[in-house]
Amino acid sequence: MAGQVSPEQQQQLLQQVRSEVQAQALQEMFTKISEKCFVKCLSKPGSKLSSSEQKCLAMCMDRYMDTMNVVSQAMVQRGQQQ
Amino acid sequence: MSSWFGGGSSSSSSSDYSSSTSSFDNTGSGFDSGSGFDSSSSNFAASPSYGGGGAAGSQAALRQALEQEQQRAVVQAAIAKLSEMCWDTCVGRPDAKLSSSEQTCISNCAERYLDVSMFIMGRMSKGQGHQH
Repeated sequence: MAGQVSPEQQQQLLQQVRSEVQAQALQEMFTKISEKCFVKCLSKPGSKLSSSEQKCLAMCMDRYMDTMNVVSQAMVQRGQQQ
Repeated sequence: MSSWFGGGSSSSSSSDYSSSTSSFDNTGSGFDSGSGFDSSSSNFAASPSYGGGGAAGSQAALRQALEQEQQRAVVQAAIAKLSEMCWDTCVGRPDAKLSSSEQTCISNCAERYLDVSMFIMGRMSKGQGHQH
């Protein structure tokens, strides 16, 4: 491909890389949140998800994302200090 | 700079999976530009070096843009890893919001982890990694 890549192709390639990186990050986040919230909310798995388990899972998911936000804020603050 | 976070701990976006996810995306690029990266080139098409020179110039621009994507992925992975560790350390039973003590714990946890990696890196670069 060296030298023969049109600007449109480059743009397309970059877009593709971006969306694949994003998709993978999303996939990993989904897996991680499922794992963490399963542990937090289903100490004794029953025959189906109870409503209290569902409530716990919903809050757990939101709090996990809050956690990610707090972490990234702390990282940026640190980045600015240096 | 905090505007890069899409409102920080915004409770409005947290219940919407896709919108709060895209705020993490913004976070990544915010961190990039905070650490001195050229934020103008984050949009490849708008990059000034892009339209210029011939094949060589545009390939350099492409390489730069790809490196930036990689950098962003590294930052995202670090956020994911730290979030997991600090979640395990700091967060108890999920509630309607993070308590202020949980938030403080998470901030401290993330910052101390960065301190630890700087400390380890410093020792390793001095060639003292094997000493006590």
